[in-house]
Amino acid sequence: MKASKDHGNFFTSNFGLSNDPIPIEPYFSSEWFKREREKVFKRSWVCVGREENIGEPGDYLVRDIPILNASALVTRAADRKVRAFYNVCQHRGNLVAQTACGHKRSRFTCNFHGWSYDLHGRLVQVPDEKVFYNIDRDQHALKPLHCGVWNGFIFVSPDPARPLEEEFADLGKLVDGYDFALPVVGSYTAEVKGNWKVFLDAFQEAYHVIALHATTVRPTFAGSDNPFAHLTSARIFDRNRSISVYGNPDHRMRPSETLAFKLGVASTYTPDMEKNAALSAAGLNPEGDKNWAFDINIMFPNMELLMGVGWYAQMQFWPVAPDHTHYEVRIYMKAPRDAGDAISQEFNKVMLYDVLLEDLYTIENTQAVLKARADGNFIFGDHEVACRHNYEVVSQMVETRS
Amino acid sequence: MTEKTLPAEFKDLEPFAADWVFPTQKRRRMKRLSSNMDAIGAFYSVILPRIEAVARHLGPRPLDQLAPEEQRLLWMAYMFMEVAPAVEIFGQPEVRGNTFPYARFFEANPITGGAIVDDDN
Ligand code: FES
Ligand SMILES: [Fe+2]
Repeated sequence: MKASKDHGNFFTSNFGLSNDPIPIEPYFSSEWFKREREKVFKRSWVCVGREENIGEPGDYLVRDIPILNASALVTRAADRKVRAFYNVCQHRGNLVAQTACGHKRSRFTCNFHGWSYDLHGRLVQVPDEKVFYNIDRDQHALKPLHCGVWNGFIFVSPDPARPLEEEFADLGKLVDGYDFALPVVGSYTAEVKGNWKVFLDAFQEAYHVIALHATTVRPTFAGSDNPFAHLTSARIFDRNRSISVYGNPDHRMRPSETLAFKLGVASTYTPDMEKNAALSAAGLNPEGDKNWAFDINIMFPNMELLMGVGWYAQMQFWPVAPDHTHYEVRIYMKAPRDAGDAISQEFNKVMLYDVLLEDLYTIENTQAVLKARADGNFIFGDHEVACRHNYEVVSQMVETRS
Repeated sequence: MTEKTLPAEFKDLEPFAADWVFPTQKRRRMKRLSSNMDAIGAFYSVILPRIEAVARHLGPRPLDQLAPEEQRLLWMAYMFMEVAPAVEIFGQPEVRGNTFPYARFFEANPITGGAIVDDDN
C-alpha cells in the first residue's frame, strides 16, 4: 500500500489495525515472555543459517536458540537434504555436536559415553550395547526439528503452526528474483539488555531517522519533500510485513560518499532513482515507489531482511530473557568486481556500523525504565505501523487458548 | 622504514604505510578510535585526492590477483573510508552523541553469529 500525502492515520486504519495506545507489560513481563515461548516461538519458524553454510554433504552447523532452551544441529547428508535435530544425546542428554560448525562429518559421537549418530540423526553405535537390555536404536534417534529452506535461508521450528512455504509465501512473491546468495562482508553481534520487541521495533520504522540519526543519515533518508522520513509504502501479509524506506534525491553527498558512488556499484542505497526504478523488478521496491531507498521485509517472529540494490542485511533478534536479546546482523554485498567496487563497499560497511551504534543506543535506556511505568503505554504513529502490527500479532497468539 | 611498501606511483602515501594499513575492518576501526583528530586529519587530507588514482591503478582485476604492495594500497583506501565519517561528520574519532559502546558491538562469526573477541580479527 502506497503512502498517502494527506492522511495522518492511513496505513494503520487501512490495514484494519487499531490506533489505541499499547500496553507496555508485554515488553518486560516474565509471565508474558513464558507465553511467548510456548505460543509464539514454539509455533513459528526461526532462521538458523544460509544453505551455502552447509553446501556439501557432511557439512553441519550448530545453533543455540535460547528462547527454546535448545541447541539445533543442522546437517546435510549424502542425499543433499538439509535436516535439523535437537542437539541432545538420547543417552543422558549431553550435547552431541560440541563445535559450532564443520565439514566432512559422517557421524557425531557424543563425548560423554560415545554414542554415535549419523547425518540422518540415526543412532548408529552404542558402546557395550548389550548392557542396555535390547535397546531399540530407532527409538533413540536424535529428535528431529521441523526444517525447511526458503530462498536459501534454513529455518527450523519445534511445532510450526503452518508449513514454511505457506508462512512466507507472500513475502516470497515480493522478493522473487532477488539473488540472496551473496558473500557476507560484515557480521556483527551484541548482547543488549532489552526485550526483543523493543529491539525489533527500533528496526521496523524510519520515524527515528530525523532525531536519532540527526548527524549521520538524516539527510540521506529525509528531505524537503519528505521531512519526516515517511515510509513510501507498506504491506502486511498475515504475520509478516514489509515497508519501503524513502531516499532523498537531493541529498548532498560527502567527499567519501561521492567517491563511493563514483567508484563502485554496491551501496546501502543509490541516489540514482531511475536506476532504482529499473531494478525494482528483481525483488525490490515492490510498489515502484519514487525516491525509494530500500525495503525492510520482516519475517515473523524475529528476523528481518533490509534489501537494496546490490546489498542486503539480515538481522536477527534472539530473545534470551524478557530484558535480554542476542542481536546478530550480517551484511551481504555483491562480490566486488574490482578495487573500485571494494572501496565503494567499504564506505557503506563503515557507515552501517556507526549508524547501528546509534540504533542500539536507545534500547537499553527504554528497557531500564519500562517496569517503573508498568501501567503506562506506548503510542505508535501511522509510520510505526509495523511496530503496531507486531504487537497485535504477538498478543493475539499469546492470548489464544490451547 | 626504508623499504617501499606501496606501488612506486604512490610514493606520496608512503609516510602513512607503516601506521595506516590494516587487513581487517576491526583493526582499522581500532586505529581510528585510538588516533587523535590531527593525525586522522593529516592522513585524510593526503589520501582523499588520491583515492581515484588508487582505484585506477589497481584496475579492473579481481582482488585476489593483487600483489602484496597493491593489497596494502587497497587496505589504505579502506582506511580512508574508515576515518571519513570522523572528519566529514563527527569532528572526533567516534560517533557524536550518545551511542551504544563500540566495545560491546563485536565482529561475529558469520555462520554461528558468535562474537569474535580476540584481537586478531
Ligand atoms: S550422554 Fe551421550 S553417550 Fe552418554
Ligand atoms: Fe536507524
